Amino acid sequence: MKASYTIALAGNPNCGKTTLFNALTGSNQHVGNYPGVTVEKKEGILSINKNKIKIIDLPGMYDLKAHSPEEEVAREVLENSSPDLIVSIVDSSSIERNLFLTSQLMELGVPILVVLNMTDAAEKKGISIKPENLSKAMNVSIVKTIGHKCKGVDTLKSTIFSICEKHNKGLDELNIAKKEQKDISPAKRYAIIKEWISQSVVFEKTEKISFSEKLDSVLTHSFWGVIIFLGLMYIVFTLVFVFGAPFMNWIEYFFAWLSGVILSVWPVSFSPLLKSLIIDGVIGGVGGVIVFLPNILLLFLAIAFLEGTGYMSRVAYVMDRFMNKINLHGKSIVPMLLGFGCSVPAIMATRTLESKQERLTTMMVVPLMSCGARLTIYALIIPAFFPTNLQGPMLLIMYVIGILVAVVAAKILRKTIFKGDSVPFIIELPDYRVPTIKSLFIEMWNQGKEYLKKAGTLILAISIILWVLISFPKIQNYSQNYSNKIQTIQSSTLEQSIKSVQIQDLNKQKQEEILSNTYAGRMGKWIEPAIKPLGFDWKIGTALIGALTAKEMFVAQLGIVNSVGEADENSIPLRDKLKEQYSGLVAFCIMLFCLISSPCVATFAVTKRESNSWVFASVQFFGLTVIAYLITFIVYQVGSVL
Amino acid sequence: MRHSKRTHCRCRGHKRCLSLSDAPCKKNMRVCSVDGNENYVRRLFCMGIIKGQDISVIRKSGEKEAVIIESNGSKFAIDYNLCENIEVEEETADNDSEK
Repeated sequence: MKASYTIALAGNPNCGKTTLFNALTGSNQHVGNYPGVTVEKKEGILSINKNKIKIIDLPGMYDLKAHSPEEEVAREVLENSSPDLIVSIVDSSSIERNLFLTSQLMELGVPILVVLNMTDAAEKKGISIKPENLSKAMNVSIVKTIGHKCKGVDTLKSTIFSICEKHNKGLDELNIAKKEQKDISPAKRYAIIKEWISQSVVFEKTEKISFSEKLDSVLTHSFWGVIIFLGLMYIVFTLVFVFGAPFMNWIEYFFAWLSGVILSVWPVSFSPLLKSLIIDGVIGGVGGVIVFLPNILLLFLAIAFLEGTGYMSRVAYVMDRFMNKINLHGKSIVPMLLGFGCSVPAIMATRTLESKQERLTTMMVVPLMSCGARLTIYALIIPAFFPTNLQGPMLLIMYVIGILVAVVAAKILRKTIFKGDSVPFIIELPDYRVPTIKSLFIEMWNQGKEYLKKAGTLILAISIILWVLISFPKIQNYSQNYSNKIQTIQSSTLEQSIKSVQIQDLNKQKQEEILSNTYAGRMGKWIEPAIKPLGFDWKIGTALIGALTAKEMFVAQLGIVNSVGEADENSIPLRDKLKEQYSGLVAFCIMLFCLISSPCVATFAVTKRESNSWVFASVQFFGLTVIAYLITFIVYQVGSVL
Repeated sequence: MRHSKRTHCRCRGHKRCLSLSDAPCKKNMRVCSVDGNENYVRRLFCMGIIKGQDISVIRKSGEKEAVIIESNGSKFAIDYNLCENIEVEEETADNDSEK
């Protein structure tokens, strides 16, 4: 059914547009407590009285004259897509400033409805508003809401519908704009706003120091602010690891149990190839990735918490001076922090940056912020090679290396390709809020769902392809007769322990011969000379190729390579197999290479879209791989000598 | 975008006016004038930093670093260079009546 009306939600950044959008449409769009959470328009449907109303949630803006790409998106919709109604959402706790944009929206020639949102926060600040008086003064309809508590949402829905109906019938004089008032100076505009609020808003001065102020005295401190930020990051990464570990083990045991059950019930003579596909391809690949779901959920829970509290803006302020040193904007830190979750939304978050050069530089280095997918690689390798007390610090080291490489790369880029003046730093610092448990879990679940969806689609498909590559062609003639040799050893008079070592050795050689004859093995062997100086063998090489599609594929591929032909009731976990094959130095080099090298294809695609250039996307893709190669080469060679 | 220090404001030649970057912390001030790059002046206006508006500096991190200010119930972190272009004067009973 086609939507009867289209309405646009507009307002200053962080005034609660997306919270109201979710309440109106039943969506679960991402919300946060800092300016710039929404960077592209989102659409949803409000069903009311058998009518469907299309609702467009716009990025926040202070002014109709756009300064940044995300403001441009909002301006474009408002001026060119002629909605039936503009809902101007006003943060009541900063009513005067918010009405500045409303006054501009009223001149677009479109019916307007003003929503006084966050009235609870306004009351706390001693601001009491009489909506009836304000409505009369402004000559528009006004509705009061508290978005995060869903208060006033039903009234808002019915008012939206009734204005749309009136407009449709030509009875909308009350809310229609006056087009002739454009080009008013800001001073004149504020004078008009002062007149509007003079009879309808009472400001009581409160001397009490608010909780936000007390917290800010520490969190924005030039020294303690930085220490607290670094400490918080350390806590987040350690908790992700420590709390995630038991859940991870349970999932690992579950898949091991599942493989065991399948093996035990599978008829011996029935399609060994299908059995291998299920156990080695699907469970080894997809199961290997799902194991890390708890870590991913915890990471996104932590990011959602930081976003929801209002801390992100403070981080931008505290880090501004450091960002200035690499010629970047304080706001660049926000996409970088989001990059710890996923590079795709992080690159989109660069839209809040006004300078093209700063935006492109930030885009280029965001993939160096170790994303959630890379966490799966660390979660596989760190527990296998490092003692428990070093696991948290080791994880932090990986993140710090990413940040340091990003800092150096940004500095170089700003001095060379993306030269240009920095744009002055201005950011709003919203009051701190305790995010609701529901919003945190919705955010965590949304991200978890995406991860599972990826595991069930892309990773499943690639796992099957990789299984085919690692299973075919079947070897016809072995270099030696393994069966005969094993029989000879078994019938010999050697000690039992020596016998089993020799048999195990022969089995390994046979396995190695089978794998190296496959397509993946040949491909791996082909690239092996190039990756040998980094300490990598052909198995890691094929896993690195798989990781080009999605970083989690590295883990999936290692799982497949190490389980093909070996799966039995006594299969040992992948981590133990890796420990048998590689040294600690190689393990570190694997993590280092995966951290710095080319991002996944999704990041490549979003970089192309946001930079509008194949060149920049390619520079990011190949440039990072070259840097990763050089750094890993130096670390491995120096480490081998030491 | 560096500017030399001024000893008087551009608004009315008041000796008592000073740039926001030199204003003391936690003291109620009032905006006398905002100048500089047209785009940023407009952005500051849209954020409510306009002549006659109450404003106070909440925190200064260090020399030539962004400053946290409070204006009209909202807090902003603003670049040091932009603060230099915002002239403020101390709020007194005298200028209260002017407002």
